[in-house]
Amino acid sequence: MESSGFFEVFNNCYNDAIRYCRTLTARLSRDEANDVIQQALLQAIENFSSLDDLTKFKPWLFKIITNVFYNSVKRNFWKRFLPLDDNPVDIPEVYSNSVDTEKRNLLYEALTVLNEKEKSALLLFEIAGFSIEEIAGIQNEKSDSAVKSRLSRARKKLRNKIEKLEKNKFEKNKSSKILTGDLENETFKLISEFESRK
Amino acid sequence: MKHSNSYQNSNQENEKVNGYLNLIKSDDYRESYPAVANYLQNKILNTKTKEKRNTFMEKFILSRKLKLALVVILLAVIGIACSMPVVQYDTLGYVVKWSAKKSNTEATDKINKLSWISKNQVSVLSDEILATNKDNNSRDELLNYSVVLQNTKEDVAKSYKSDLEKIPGVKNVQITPLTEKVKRSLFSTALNKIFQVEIDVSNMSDQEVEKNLREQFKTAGVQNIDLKVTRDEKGRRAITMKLSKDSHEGGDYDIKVKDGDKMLRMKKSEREEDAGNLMNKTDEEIRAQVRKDLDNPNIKDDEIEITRDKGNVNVNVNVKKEK
Repeated sequence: MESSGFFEVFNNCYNDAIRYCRTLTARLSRDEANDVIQQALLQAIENFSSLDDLTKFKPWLFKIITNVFYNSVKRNFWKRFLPLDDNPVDIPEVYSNSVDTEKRNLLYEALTVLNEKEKSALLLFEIAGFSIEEIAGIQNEKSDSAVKSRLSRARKKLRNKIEKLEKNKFEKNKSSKILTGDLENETFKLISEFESRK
Repeated sequence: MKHSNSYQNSNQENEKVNGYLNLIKSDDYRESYPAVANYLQNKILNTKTKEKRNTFMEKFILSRKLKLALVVILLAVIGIACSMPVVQYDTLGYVVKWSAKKSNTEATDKINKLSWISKNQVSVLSDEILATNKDNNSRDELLNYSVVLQNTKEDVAKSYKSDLEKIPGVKNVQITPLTEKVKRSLFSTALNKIFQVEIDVSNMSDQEVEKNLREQFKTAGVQNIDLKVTRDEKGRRAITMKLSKDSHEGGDYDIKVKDGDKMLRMKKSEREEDAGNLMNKTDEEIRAQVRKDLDNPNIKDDEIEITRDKGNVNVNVNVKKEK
């Protein structure tokens, strides 16, 4: 398949792919996160000719991203012991309209409670909109039930962690009682306080 | 894409989590797409050019695999051949020997009249008693002639032989080729400039020996050598060669001179392994090296004379023949 065909289909799922990739690597350094995007996209374009059915492009691309992410986690582990030579990261910066808010940071922190497979399954389901069956294919699982229980477990862990983080934050704010001037943050604090009273 | 119902139901209990995840869902990265697409296109172009180059090289090598293998084998054979020492025997000339009675004046006159005799130096040994005349008890002598014909072809030497055989009274006419044994490897000659010559001067007169040796040393780049060919009281020939530091402008050399039972050798080597060096060695170490060099462990200490003169070490080996 010609590489021009790649861009036609890639354009359609670019936003989901980068969103997924960015959230997966949210707690990695900027360079490491960009490296995952670069490697995944280069692998995809290099192996595009091996893809027979264009309708399967999106799960195929997300499978590549997921595998590159898994490998980067493993590599980061070995980096503690061995200096590995990495390719230079030269991909242009991918940016969004999003603003780093306290709520977003809390979510990123809460996601660290999940292991790689749980995080990947949850984001594939929630952000990229894949079905359980498709996620099983992407994660090389033989049965859908494994994915279902993984998603359930992930959601539960995430919810608990978010609640815990919110509580900590509320306690902290309560003791300081200092207004930050951030409208979103102040609203968020009021809602949290209201919910805790209820 | 549709999510499973059971999972959707459970989602209702997780509105808080959904609220957070919606933050991510609202992220829009589309503005960065053109730059990323452009980057990927450039990468493809670079990869294709590299692949094209690699493919060309691969095709070139694969199509000539057999030829390249043969070339490698051929080069290896040439390399081995170059490192093998080559022994050559070069004919320098011929020695013509014959004998005639001293009393046979007709024969000696005819010999002296031969044109080629006057051009070359003839050595005559005449101390052999041949016979005793019964009538007057006079003694006769057999004159042994020998002539060294340098740079002479075999045909010419044979014609000289037939000239001599035509003279009545001339006996035992023999032609012996004068050869030198040259042993050198192509690599050692090229890299170390070693000049190796082995000369047999057994059949030469003293003057011829001196002349021949000087020529050989000149070829080896040795100039102004102090070379003497002398005879002791018993008529035995002694060849002495002395060499000063500035008399040699060429490379290394190893010259062996065979004179009957005696063997003279002059060697100069600037290679580190050889030069490592006589100056730094004790007499005992030098003697051990000489024995190893001459492949003769039986050489006695007093047969190896070592003299040290400022920066030079002279080693003279004189092996006495056991009776």
